[in-house]
Amino acid sequence: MKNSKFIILFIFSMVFAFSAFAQKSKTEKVSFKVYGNCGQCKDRIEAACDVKGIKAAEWNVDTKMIEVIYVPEKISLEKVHQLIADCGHDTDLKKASDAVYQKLPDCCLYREKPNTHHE
Amino acid sequence: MKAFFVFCLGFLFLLETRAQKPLLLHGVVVETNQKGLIEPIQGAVIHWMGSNYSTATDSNGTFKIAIDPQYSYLIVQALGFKNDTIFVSGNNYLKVLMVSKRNFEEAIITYERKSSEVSFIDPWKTTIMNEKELFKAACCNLSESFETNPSVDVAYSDALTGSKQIQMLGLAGQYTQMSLEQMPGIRGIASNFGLNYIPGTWVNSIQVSKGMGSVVNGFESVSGQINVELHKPISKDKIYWNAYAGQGGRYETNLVLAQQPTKMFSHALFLHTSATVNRMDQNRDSYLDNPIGNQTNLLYRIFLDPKNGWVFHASIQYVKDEKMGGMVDFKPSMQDTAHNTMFGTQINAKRISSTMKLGYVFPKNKYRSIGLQANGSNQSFDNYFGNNLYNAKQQSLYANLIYQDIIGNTKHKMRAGLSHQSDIIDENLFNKQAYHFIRNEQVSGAFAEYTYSYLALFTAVAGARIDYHNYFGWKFVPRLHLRYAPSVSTVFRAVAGKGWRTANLISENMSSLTSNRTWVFTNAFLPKTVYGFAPEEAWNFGVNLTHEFKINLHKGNFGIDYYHTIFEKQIVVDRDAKTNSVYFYNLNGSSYSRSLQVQMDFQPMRRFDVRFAYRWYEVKTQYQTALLDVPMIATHRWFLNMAYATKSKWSFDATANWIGAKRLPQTLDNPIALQLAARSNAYVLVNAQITKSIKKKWDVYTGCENILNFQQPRAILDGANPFGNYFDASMTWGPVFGRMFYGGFRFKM
Repeated sequence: MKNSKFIILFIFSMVFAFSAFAQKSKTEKVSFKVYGNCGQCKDRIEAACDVKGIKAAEWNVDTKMIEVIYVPEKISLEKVHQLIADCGHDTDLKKASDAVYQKLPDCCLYREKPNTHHE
Repeated sequence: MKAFFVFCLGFLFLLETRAQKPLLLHGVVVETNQKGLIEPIQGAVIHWMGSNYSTATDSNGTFKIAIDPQYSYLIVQALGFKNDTIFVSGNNYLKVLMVSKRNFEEAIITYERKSSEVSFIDPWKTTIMNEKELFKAACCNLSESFETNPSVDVAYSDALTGSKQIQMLGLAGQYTQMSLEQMPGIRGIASNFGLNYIPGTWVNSIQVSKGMGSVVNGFESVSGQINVELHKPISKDKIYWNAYAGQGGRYETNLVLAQQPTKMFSHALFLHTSATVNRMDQNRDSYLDNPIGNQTNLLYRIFLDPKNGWVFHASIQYVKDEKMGGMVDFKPSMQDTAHNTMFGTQINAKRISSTMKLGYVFPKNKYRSIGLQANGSNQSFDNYFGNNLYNAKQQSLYANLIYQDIIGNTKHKMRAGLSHQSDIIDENLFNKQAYHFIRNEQVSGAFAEYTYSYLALFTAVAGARIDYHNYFGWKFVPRLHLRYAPSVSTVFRAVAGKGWRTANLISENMSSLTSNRTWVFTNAFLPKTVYGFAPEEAWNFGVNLTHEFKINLHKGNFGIDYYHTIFEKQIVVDRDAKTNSVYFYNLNGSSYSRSLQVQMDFQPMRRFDVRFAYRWYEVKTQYQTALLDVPMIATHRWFLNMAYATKSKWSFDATANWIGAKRLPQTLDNPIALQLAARSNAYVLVNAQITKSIKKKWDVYTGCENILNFQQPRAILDGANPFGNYFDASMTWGPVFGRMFYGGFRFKM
């Protein structure tokens, strides 16, 4: 039974550590539009946001809106837009360079074939 | 009154929109153009096989289709392209690469999914473990694949043969129905060993569900079902090769070759060979910790799909498994029941089996289909455990004919059919005296199952089957499954039903032969019985809740389940009446299992997953002396698994299992020096593994099992006198083998 108490304690301390960790730096949640088409775009956009300073990012294929939780002390919002533009996706703040955009797979070329499909 | 009616209508409408919208399968259909670029296909038609609802892709090649629990095969058709049939489970984003008819390459299917997920749609709560999950541990065979799954326990059966057995709901492995590719087939004397004959690297996915299964798959399941899907010949990897070496002198290699020479025909060859060569005695008790030996395993399977509604799958498998254990210096030539020089054990198993599935979907009536599945096997054992000898042969045949249709509209579905199974088992046991058991079981049955589904909100499955057993007459089995999803992220399920099975007392209790216990049957040779007994019968009731949540965009899910199994008839295996005996007798009183599990999966950071679970068991049986806890079942268990992956394709996995104290069979008849405590110690098992992926083709991994190096003290009782009265190697409650490092690689192309 000694062991079990240890484990419970360990888990509680872990949960506590996580929540403390999460609270330490001030985070902000923003939502903005990112142009793209498909699930491949989603992977690409979310992978581009996988950097220090961004806690989480989720892009919605249907609404084209991205939700980003980031730490303003570590990364500026402009930089987040830039990261997304650098991987080939336009935002209303930053445009992707044509060179990067042209390298996207055909189904992801949202400028030529914007996804207007809604249900 | 009118207002109430309008309210109800509005409420229904609300439910409808609410339930319909999110349960969609999203995907994109693309092709590779001449420049090698990926382009979407507009106007590709998508429908579920068997359903008459279809949708088409838009100009971006994307589609959405409502998920229907009844259908799992998605058909994608586009002009100028080969039709594609995709097996879909879950609602993960689907990419379908269509292949032009000019081109002879096959369609490539990519799933993006979690490694282990719980289906929200099935009326059964099913945990699907895919390759990603299986790769978390160095699974040599299936029984080891469950190390990262908290629903299935892996128990050590004895200290000599290295056998591990699975348990669900605190009940031994034989109460779980095993099926391979949705076909029950691992039965009879093979039921506890069948999983060892499927190498972990052959496995594509495993589905685990607790409680009663569908009546379509037979009457035998009591505590749950485990279904194993192997790699398909139409898989995108044509070559899959892996090799593994462990510190205990265990070497293993697997090769899977798949080929699709024509559109209609594909086949795959699976090869496995493994050997344990080092004589290891880490705990210095002068007995091998793990037996030495080798296994050869071959499987060949074909898929025929002439695209006219008929589908044919067939496979043939051969396994030879030889294990020798016992005293460190034992050699098979020393086996001598007359002189008792050295103690040794041997398990030599051979199994040849063959399966086939034939299906037909009516071309004019897509939701009507008929399927026949059949298998046959021939299994033999040639075993000894000191002076206990056990030889057995089993020939089994199984056939199941299933007809599927809808009644009026797709809200009402039915499946019905006929089945037959035949088991001819011939066993020779020598334990103080010679026993020869022969039985010929023939069971014919009919079943029907009705499914009512109201959108994605509610599903009810009511099934019943009636079987005629040539020894025991008619047996009736009813089962009911309910599923209710009040919101997109919450599902309640309930299950109730009955199951029955004939117990294979010798093979299920083979571990008791690694002792000097005397087996006592009440009336072993009563005609028209199995070892003098009628089948075991049990009721099982269960409820469970699964809830998905999101905290700061990080996904997680929470599950809680409770199952109660009540045995009406059971053959009690009593190791408590006398220390040096095993009594087998009919249950006279109550026998039940109650199990509660709480599980939480959460992603506190990107690429970091945590799974945490707690399990509580109460498993009691009325023995001759009293109502006691069934031995070797821990009341409390904690489970923690953490997985972290870097962007550079390194992944780190660690699993900790805390297993509480278990009741041990009493040893009070022994001299005091040879008595054990009434309960075992609690212990912690920690495993960890590091994997690096290189260029998507190679995976290199290394890990360590049992990092804390916990070894059960006194794994063998009175090992100094293996032929004396007190010798017992079956009191195993923890690992016999200590810390073990291993490494290996996987190659896919």
